[in-house]
Amino acid sequence: MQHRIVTRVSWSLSGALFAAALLFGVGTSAPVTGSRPATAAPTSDTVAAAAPALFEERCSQCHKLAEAAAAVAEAQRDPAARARWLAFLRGHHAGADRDASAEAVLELLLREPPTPH
Amino acid sequence: MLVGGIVWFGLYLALVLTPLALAFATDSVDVARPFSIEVGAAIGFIAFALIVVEFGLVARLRAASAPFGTDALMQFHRQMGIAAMLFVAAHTLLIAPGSAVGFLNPFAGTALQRSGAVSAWLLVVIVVSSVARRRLRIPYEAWQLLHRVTALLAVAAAAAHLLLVQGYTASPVVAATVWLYLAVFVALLFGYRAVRPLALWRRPWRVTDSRDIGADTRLLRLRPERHAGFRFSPGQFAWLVTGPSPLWGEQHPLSMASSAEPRADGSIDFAIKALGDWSSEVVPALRENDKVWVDGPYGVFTPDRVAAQCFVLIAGGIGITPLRSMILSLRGRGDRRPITLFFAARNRSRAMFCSELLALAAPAALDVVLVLEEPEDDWRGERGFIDAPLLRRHLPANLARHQFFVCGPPPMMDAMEHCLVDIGVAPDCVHTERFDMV
Repeated sequence: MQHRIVTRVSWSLSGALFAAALLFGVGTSAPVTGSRPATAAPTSDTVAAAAPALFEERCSQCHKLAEAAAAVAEAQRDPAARARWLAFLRGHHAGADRDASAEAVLELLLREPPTPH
Repeated sequence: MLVGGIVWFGLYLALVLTPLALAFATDSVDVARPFSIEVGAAIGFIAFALIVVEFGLVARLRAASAPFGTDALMQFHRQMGIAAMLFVAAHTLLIAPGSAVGFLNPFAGTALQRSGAVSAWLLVVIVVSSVARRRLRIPYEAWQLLHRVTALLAVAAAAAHLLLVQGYTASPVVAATVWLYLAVFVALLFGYRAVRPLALWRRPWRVTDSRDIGADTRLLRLRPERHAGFRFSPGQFAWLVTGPSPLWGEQHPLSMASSAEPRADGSIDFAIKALGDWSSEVVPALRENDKVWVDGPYGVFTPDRVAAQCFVLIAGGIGITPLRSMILSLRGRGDRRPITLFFAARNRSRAMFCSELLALAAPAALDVVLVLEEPEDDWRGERGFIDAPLLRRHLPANLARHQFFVCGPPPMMDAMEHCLVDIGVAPDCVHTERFDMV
């Protein structure tokens, strides 16, 4: 009896915890409220401008990525650098969990490679 | 007990949700992110708390186990361990959709990715080795060691992963909470692995008798040395520690087989069936005057906690051990409440303590129903398995004032839980003891 009760309690609790995670998601994700800046649809131009700051801000503990951020800006002008750093970012930063903004930037960079001036 | 249970469950829930609640309150991620990423992050926080709190469930905290029973906490520990693994899987899939496989490579990527991958894989090892230990043929002793080491590393890797993320943990409050959880984990571990063994070390027991009682079972009698031993309730259990010291010895949970009424010398008996390396090799090698340690008593599987007019005890194989303690204790106290014992065994020779219990039956208002799976040809009693028709044949129609205690192999326990409900027993009158979970 106890076994069945414990099983029911465990899985009900897991369900409740999952529901709490969903509520958290509802409360913290877009639509944006208050002071949170939206990153829903950045353009190539805004990406070019925002990328270094975003990378530096969100990946401050990772020097390589901060370095990469500067390189992304550089890549706006230099096609070879752009290709090199996009490859680096694709390998290095793919699936990074902490920074959806950086991911959004990366995805946009990959989807719409900025044209060199 | 109900209030205690609610308080402890509430505390557990609070511990699991606190990091997430603080992350929400501090809201240190100031850039809006997709819903899936936020849910993934939340699941990560929950998984971390689940993993850390897991140890608290099995750290032998008497106050925490008193309302539920140690075996119920162990079951809960097992189920929530599986849940934690599923949460980690969901976290990975939500955070890194499309690249989850690469994300789970513990040898590549950033320190953040590697720590997450290590924690996830260790969790898989823990769950798979626990759920499928027998199928994988992992000896219990080896599993114990593997479980301890991998759990410790999994907690460390999970904490490192969380602190490296620097998303919500960029908040000093959330980061401090993660460190606090780690500190409590380490303190519990220190208490469990150092303070408790050192306390046991000062209270040794000596083997005074070790006898083969058939059915691959030994009856071990232990006497406290220079201390009074402990009082226990019938049906409770203790961890028996063998080896050079409680710090390094092997330990196994065993029900006391003797009466809870104290003997003059404080000695207690354990019946140990040869089921693994320790019980097959170490226990038979114990000789008179050998030193061991006993950490107990624990458990709530005891008639002392319930009000009953009659007891029905259902045992399978070595599950007779705590029930023998109940019978001897009740009769030793002069308690004349009727007891019906159903005892399932393969054959008469595998039914340990059978002659002793049958001898007790006549003068002691004890009905013994022996149920043999493969009886000898001249057997006239019950045969097969204990089931609802068999129970109905031997029990009165009105079971309202009966309390049922069941102990045996897991399949038998599962079957009994269904059977007893089928014959009209209220679920809260059925008490079970399960330790055969890995």
